[in-house]
Amino acid sequence: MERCLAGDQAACETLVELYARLVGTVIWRAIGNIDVVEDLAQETFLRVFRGLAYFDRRSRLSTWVYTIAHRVAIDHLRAAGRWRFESFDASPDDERDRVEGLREPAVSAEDRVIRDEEVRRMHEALARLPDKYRLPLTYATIEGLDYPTIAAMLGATVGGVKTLVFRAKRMLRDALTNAV
Amino acid sequence: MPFDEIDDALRQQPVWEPPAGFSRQVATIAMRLPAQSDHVTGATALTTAWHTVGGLVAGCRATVSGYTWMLRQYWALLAR
Repeated sequence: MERCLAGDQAACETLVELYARLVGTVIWRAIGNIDVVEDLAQETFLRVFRGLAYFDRRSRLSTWVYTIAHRVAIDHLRAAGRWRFESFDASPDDERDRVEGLREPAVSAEDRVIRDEEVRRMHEALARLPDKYRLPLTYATIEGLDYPTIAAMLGATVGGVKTLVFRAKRMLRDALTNAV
Repeated sequence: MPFDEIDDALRQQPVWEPPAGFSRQVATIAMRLPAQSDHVTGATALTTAWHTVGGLVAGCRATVSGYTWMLRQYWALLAR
């Protein structure tokens, strides 16, 4: 980081190489359109380099970089008119929203064709979820992003993110059940 | 669809692979940019706005004070 701040281009390249895959994946999953991911990933790193001198090290550098990627994605959604601001605050809901209830019983025996069709419908249902639920769930299933990192990205608590992820899954399950 | 299957299906989505030369391209552009922070830019804009408002208020007060002084002189002349 210091070498990067001192204007060492090779150090900056290393920093980009280190985080590019996950930055691009966060943006891709958040906006669902691969065509603009490269541009937005680039925008993310330019914001990172502009603000690097002011990074206060209270969080991990990776968390800070992914938070900027999330904000770039949100800015893109907002510009496209696809973003309605909602706090990622898990307001109290009924008892069924407890994270402890996350375990789901009964895995039915379905054949491969039905399963693929289900997965396709699940992705469609996911795209229709409000961003408040879609983004936490989407980020939670990205390899390399843990709950504390996601909480920092969304400006929420770890418990709040877990609750939102649980509710998102329940919404998806309900949507798929009702569609049958 | 059970929750763990939803999890599995979502985790199987592909990850983004940066194109060849991406890091070099970004680092090259970054080297040409002056260092600044959105935070600092925002704070600077706020300070400028604050100073502008302060300047306007000070200007108005000076004008009112000037007119008051002129009126006082006028009344003093009339009173003689």
